[in-house]
Amino acid sequence: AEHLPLTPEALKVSVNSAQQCLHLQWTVHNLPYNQEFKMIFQIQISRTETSNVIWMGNYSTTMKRNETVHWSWESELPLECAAHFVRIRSVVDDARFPEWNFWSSWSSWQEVNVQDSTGQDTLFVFPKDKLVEEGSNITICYISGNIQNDISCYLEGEQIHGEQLDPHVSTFKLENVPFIRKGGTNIYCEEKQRKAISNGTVLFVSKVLEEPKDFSCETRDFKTLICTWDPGANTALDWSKQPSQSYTLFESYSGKKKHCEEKNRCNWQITQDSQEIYNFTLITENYLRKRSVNLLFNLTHRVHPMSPFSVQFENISATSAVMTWKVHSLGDYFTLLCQVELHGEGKMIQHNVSVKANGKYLLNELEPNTEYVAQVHCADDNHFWKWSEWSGRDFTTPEAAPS
Amino acid sequence: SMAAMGSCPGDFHVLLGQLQKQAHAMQDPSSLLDPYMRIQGLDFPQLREHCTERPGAFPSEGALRGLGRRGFLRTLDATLGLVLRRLAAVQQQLPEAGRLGRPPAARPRAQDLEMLKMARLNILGLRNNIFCMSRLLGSSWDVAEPTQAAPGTSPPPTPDPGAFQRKLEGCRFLRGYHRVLSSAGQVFGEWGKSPS
Repeated sequence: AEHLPLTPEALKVSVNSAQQCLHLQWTVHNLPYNQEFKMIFQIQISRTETSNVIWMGNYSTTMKRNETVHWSWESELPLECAAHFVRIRSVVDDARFPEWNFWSSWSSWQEVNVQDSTGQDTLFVFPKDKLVEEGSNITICYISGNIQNDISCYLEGEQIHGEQLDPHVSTFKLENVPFIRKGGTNIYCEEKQRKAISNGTVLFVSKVLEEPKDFSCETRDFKTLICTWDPGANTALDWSKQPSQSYTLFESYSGKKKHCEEKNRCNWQITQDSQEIYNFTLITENYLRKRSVNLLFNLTHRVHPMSPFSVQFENISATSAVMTWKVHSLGDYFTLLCQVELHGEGKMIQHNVSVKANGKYLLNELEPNTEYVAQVHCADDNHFWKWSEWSGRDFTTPEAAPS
Repeated sequence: SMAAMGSCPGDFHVLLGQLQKQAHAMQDPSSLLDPYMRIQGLDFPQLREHCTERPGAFPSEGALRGLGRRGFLRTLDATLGLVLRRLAAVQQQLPEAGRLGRPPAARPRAQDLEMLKMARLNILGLRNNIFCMSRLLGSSWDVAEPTQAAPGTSPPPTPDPGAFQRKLEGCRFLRGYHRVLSSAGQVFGEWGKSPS
């Protein structure tokens, strides 16, 4: 069969220095019309010179004639540190066309040169102000241009030793970089003879974004849900490199979403038509990572009543008293379990009372002429979740009447 | 323009004594430069050596001495205005949200950030006394901030030198600031010897 020249053409290479990425796009002109072909593209990437191939890999895709294919490659070395060269070839990997199952010739090399520092009397250090996550492996380089002096580089005051990539470029591999400070980790190079700091860079190492812990929601009034969580480390960095992580609440049944202003709590409005079951996802995000936790619960099982109020004592006699208190209404069908604690004579006695509206309890078998403290807190009687805060007061029983 | 914030002592020697004390305290690098270097991670021998005043950034002691009293006060006030703006820029790069929901950031950093805030208050206090002294000397001025570019003309944008160079530049700036305060202290000291 006739050998079709399926060499990839119109290869364009663009650079994203910050992400240390090469973006490639190309096409294949000579594919027959109106048909999709399964293709494998083999990509070679060289560094410093074409003969020094540092990466080769295959990319499979289906395409039509003149369709543009896109592909990206991330370099471990900052792209400013060396010239890179890219070429591609293709093969039709389609059972329908076994006769075309042979490699095309290579495209011509495409050169990518981000930083032309030849002939410059300045030392450059790359990457410049890179944001990375704690624990990453990073490669740094300096380009010395015309500078002939002996150059030493330091990371936080400690000398670091690199490898010569070419007469003007040295690279340094930093493994498992730690978080040191919000202001970043300083890496700088010194010209020994002149004892002058030629240049440097800052590696902004972010703490790893943690999954929120102890994510919990409750209501105190059936009007608002209060969600709280432990955010863990704040991943904000100085120099506007990364703000504090953001927190967003998403409820799947209602489809509603809310950005939380605070970093460890968020209020969610309960509307009249709200459902009883809530399925929350708490999403936290910074520039480097996104995490989420889920929480599925029944609203009526998460009632944390507000503390009782207006605690009063009536009919106080030498040996008894009637304790009354008010509660914030939670609806007609809602029963509160209230716990009364009586402290006096070095003892504490506890009583439980079920309460629908306001509470009332007879304290008897008291001692005359004695000071007591009585307090009450309440919880949901049907589905216990949390006790309210205590409310209470002291009272003193009168002398017993002379018998 | 310059405005008094606090009250003004009416006595020349009392006011001069305060100015001398303030200048003496503020020329000490531990009050601003050292905490700045710690926050920025520049607290290493090579970098300390490199953190030198940039020639021409601030008036020399001789230049200050040659200005005469009113000119000296005006220049010192303008210099302090410059430093306040630089401090504001540094502060903006330090998001201190503390440890979310937990105690504020690690102790050393919190202390250093506090010192940066104190330095700003000290500068405001010194500017206030400078204003009082200028009034005592009977001069009234509308201080033109020295680096205020003429309205409508903004300096051509220079490529971002990168955080490391900007850290070093901040360091050299503050080195100069402390030196100017030391020089000002010397000049105020000489005032004490000759009343007019």
